[in-house]
Amino acid sequence: MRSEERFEGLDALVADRGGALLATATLLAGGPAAGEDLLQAALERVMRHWHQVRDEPEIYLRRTIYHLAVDQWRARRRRPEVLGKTETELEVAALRAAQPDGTDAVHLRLALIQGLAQLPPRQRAVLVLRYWEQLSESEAADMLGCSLGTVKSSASRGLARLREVTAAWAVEGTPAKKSLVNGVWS
Amino acid sequence: MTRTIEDLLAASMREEVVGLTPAPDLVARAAKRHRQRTRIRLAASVTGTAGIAAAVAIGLTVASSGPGAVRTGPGAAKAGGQAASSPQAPLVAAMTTSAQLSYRLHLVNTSMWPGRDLINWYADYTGVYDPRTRSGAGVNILRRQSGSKVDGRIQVRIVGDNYYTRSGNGKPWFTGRGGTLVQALVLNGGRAWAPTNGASADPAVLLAAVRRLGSVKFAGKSGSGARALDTYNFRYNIAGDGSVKPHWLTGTIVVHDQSDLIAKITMQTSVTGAHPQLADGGWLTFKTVMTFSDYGVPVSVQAPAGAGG
Repeated sequence: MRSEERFEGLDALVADRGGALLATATLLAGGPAAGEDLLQAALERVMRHWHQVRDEPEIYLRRTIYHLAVDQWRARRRRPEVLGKTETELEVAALRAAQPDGTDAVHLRLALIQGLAQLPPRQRAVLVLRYWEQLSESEAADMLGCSLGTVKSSASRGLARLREVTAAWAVEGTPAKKSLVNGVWS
Repeated sequence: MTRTIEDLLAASMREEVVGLTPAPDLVARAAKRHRQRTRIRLAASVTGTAGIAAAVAIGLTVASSGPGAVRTGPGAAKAGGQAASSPQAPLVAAMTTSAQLSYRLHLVNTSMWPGRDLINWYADYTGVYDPRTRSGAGVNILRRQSGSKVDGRIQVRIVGDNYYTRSGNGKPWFTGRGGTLVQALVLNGGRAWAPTNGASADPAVLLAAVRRLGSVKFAGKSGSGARALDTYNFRYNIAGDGSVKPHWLTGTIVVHDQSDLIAKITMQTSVTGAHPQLADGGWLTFKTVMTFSDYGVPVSVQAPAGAGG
C-alpha cells in the first residue's frame, strides 16, 4: 500500500485562491453546488498527479477545472443546476411580465447567466475564459488545449446565442434603456 | 451609455459569483475521495492482475504437483491410465506436461473501465520461458486503450531466483527477487500498481485456487488429428473485501488433444467497488489471454551485466 500522501500547500492554496477558483467553477458548471463539485473533482485530479504538479498546483488546478468542465461534465451529460426550471427564453419572458420595471438589470443578468449555462460546454468555457478571466483568445486556446480558430468560433457562437436569448428582452422591455442594435446594447 | 453584450456578460458574471467561498472541508473531502478511489483501484488492479498471475501460474508452477497427475475424459487413455474423478484432473495433467517444457508465451491483459482512461490499458507480453531452468525473457508493451501510443516497453528477464526489468535499452535494470514470470510481470511490467495482498500474486496460492475450481466443465472438442483441441470452462469465486465486492473469475483452457499441452488460456473478471456510493461506481473488467506455442524452444538467458542482486 502506498504511504499516506500529503498535499503540502494545497490547503493554503484553496484558502487563498479558493473563492476565485470556485467562482470560475460555478460559472462553468452552472451553479454554486455544481461548481463546488467541479472544484472538488479538479482537486482530486491534482492529488492524483501531485508528484508532477506540486510545484505549480494552481496552474494545473485551473487547467483541470476547464478540461473537466468541457470533457467530463459533457460526458456525464450533467445539466447545470439552473436548468430544469424553464427554458431560458420562457423564464426571461416570465420575469419581464411579472416585473416590468425597476429590475431590468437584475433580470438581464439572470438571463445572461442562464443563457451562459445553457451553452455547450466548450462555448461556455471560452466565454468564461474571455470575459471572466479576461484572457486573450490565444491564452484561452492554450488553456483549453485547442486551436485559436476553435476559440474564435466558440466565442462567436456563444455570444450569438446569448444575443438571441436576450433579444426578447429588448423587444419586450424598455427600449429607451436597452435595445440591441447590431450586437450592441444601448 | 452603450454597453456591448460582452460587457454585460462580464458584469453579470462578476455579480453572479460575488462572495462565493468554498466549503472549509473541501480539500479534506477531495483527499478522502482520492484515497478511496486509490484503494479501490489498487484492490481492483490486484484482482485483475491475479488473472495474469493465475494464468501464468498454471503454466509455471503446476510442476510442483508432480508428474503423477492424471487425466480423465477426452484423452484419458494418454494420461497414464490412472482414473480420476474430478474434471480438474485432465487440466492438471495438461499443466504438468506443459510445465515440463520450455515454451513461447504471448499474453495480453486488458483492463477496461469505461470513461476512465487512466486505467484503460493493454499489457501485451511476448517472451519465452523454460520452467526447468527457471529462466526466460520477453518484452511487455503497455498501451492506453484510448490510443495507440505505447506508454511503456518493459524488458523482462528471469534467471533463477531473480527477475530483471527495465523500461528500455540503455535504461538501468531493476532487480527483483522471486524468479518467476509472475512476479516479473505482475509486480513490475504488468502495471505500476504493486499488489497489496501477497497471496494474489503467489503462484502456489493461485494454483491451489485453480485446483479447487468451483466449476469445471469439458466444453467440447474441435478439430481433428494433430489439430484437435479440448476446451474446458471453469470459474471460481473471489471473495470481496473492504474495497471490492465478491465476484467471479471465469475462464477457458484449450489443450492440444494429442500432446496434452496447453494451447490457450483465457480468463476474465469484473469487479466493482464495495462502496460505489462513495467512490467510483461501475465495473472494472480485466481479461487475460495467454497463447502458448513453440514447446521445446531453446531458452538461453543470462542476468544483465551490471544488474545487482
